[in-house]
Amino acid sequence: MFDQARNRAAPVAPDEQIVGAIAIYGSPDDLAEAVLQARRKGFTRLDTVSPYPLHGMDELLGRGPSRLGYVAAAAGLGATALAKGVQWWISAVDYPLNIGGAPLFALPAFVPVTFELMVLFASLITVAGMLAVFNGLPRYGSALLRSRHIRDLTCNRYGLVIDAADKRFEPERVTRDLETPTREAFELLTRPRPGRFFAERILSVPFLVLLVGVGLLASTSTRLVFRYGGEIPPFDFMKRQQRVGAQRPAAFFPDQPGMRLPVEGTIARGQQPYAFRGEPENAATSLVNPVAVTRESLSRGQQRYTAFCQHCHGKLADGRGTLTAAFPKAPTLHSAKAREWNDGRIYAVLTEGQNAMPAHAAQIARTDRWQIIHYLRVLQRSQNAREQDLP
Amino acid sequence: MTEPTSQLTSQPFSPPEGLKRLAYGAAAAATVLLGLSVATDLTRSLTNSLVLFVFTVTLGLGCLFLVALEYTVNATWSIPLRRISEHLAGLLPFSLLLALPVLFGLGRLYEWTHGEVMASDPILQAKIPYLNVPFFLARFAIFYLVWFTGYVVLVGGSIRQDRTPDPAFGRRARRFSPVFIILLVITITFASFDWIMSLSPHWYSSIFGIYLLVGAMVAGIALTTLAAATLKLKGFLPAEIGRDHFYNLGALLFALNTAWAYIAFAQFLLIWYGNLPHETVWYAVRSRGGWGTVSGVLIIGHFVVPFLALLSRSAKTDLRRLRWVAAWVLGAHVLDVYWLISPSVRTTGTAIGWQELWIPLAAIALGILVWIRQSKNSPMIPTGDPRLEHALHFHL
Repeated sequence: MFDQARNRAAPVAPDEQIVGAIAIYGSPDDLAEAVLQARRKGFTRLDTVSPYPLHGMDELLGRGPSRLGYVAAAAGLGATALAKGVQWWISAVDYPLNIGGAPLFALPAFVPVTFELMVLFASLITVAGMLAVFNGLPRYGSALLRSRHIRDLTCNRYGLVIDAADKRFEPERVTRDLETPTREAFELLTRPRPGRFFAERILSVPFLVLLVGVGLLASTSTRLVFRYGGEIPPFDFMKRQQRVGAQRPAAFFPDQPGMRLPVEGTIARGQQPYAFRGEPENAATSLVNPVAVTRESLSRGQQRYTAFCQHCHGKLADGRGTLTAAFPKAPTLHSAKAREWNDGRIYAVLTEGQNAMPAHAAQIARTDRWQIIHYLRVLQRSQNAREQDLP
Repeated sequence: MTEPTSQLTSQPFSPPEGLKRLAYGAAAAATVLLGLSVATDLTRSLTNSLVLFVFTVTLGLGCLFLVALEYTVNATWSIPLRRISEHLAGLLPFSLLLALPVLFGLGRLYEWTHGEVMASDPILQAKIPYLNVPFFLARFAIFYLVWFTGYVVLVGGSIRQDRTPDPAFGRRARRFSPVFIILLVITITFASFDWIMSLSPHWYSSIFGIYLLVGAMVAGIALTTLAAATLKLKGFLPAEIGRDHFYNLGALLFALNTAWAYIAFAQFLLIWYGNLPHETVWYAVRSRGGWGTVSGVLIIGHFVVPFLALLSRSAKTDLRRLRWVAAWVLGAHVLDVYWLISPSVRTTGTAIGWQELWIPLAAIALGILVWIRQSKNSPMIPTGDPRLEHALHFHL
């Protein structure tokens, strides 16, 4: 027989608020019929509760395909653009680095990062979006969980839920609206009014004690761990590996020095070996200054002269440098000999050194040596100017 | 158990006349073109016959792989569609016929068959113990032995089950299939090394076997999808095989095709990044002139188009769209096999010309005729499988 007592909505307590209604059925078919009837009556905010997924229920409820796919697509495309943009900015704009001659914007090399980032963003945002946007989570409780029927609904009963936000939802009439011969029970779903929730649950003594207790426990234990536990280095295997320290011997080279000499017979890219070692006169006759006299080459020469020559030879190349007390006095470069020497001869001195002057080939690049010579000529002319040099 | 199927499906498939006409027409056109092609350029025709051979093998193996995969993962939804794959796996025995011109033309195709070439090159000298004709033929025989064993056990057993229902067969097949899949992966890896990679004997890529395997899987699922969608549209499949079955086929096709792109890109990236001359030469040949165009068409045709066409959910359940995409992917796969093989053999001449036209025509003719022949004696769904009824009511 039809149970009238169970089929009536229980009275609602004054501090409770109605959030919906649920009708209980004994079989999926009865539920499906009820769903169709409710939709015919114009209800739109419907949902069903069942112990297991019911095939076809989405269609009966009039749900279209989920829009979650668009979230995933947007997240994936956004992550793709982000990954490509970041890699382009770092590798091609902000810090261009030539790696094995590959183009700076190396598309194939950027694909793995792009792909991984796309998968990561798309999956995380899709899951988060599903929970937050489509399922309305996190939720600290559901009115459904307060229903008398929730145990049956996870076992062998099927429920039709109508949200109170439905335009046709009227608490007094909804039980009649949802009347079908097979309905087993009906209940209005309620929850405490929000104000009461805050006053009774949040401002309650046990909750506040718990909150303070957890805070104290967490801060005390953190303090103790850092005070007595010491630092736990995370990944220091790179720091602890065998390596060459600057100016230190290296254990893994049998002959010790950490700074290695180049292999015998190798020359650096774009360089040529100096062909006149020990033959400065030969250099004088064979070498010609390859650098043109320009404003740029002269100012570069001046800059290099200041860095490498001035402290011994003096600002004007007159041999009055600042290091005269500690080092043998450097000669003036305005002597007749120095002025008559051609560029190649001076280049030989710069390259190999002479008397107390050490070789500068290792410190000063080839072109710079030629530019220093240009600047030296300027200094020589400035100290030995003739009348026609005056403007 | 109730009688699950309609009258249509328990009877053998009677092919529509149009299908047969298409097959005979394609066969006739292919024969004419093949004759002209042989008369003008024998090496090119031999290369193309190698393409057709490898393509057919991958189709057959791909279908057989699907059958073995179903047993391995104990899938239910695919049972009603399994027989289609089983029929099409019948291409495997027929591929042996296509191997004949290749085997007779080894000397024209493979540089390593010439002793003096091998002896004059220190790298090739080291490969003599592997790359020699007797061992090549022995491996060839082993591949076919493994594949035939799988074919006879899985396909033969399933068809026997129709006549004399034998519940123990499913258990045997589920135990046999994982082992067979392992052997299949190993054999197809070495087959790809032997038949394709050794065309350029200096070059090597350790991912090459996986590349061909994934290609074969894509081809198998595409062929099964094409046949299943055609049968469904023409009303040869029971009404219960519906949206959700085809959705799964479409999703598998989508996933495997993307996996192919993933593997293809992985191979390219490592070689591009390493930038070693003896590795990049293989791609250098394929990025110049007409071959560069073919490579571009392959990227778009084998990845971009199917990816976009199958991306949406509705595309995977739209039978007509699914059928077109499946056919398109098969076309892309034959181009892929052609792209793997031809640039290694001939660097001169047009990348693709009328001489290649007979390959797809012959493949169409062969596919249809073998399918008709295989499906003559057994129903289109495995009526003897005890789980068929359950599988027909599959829903996502």
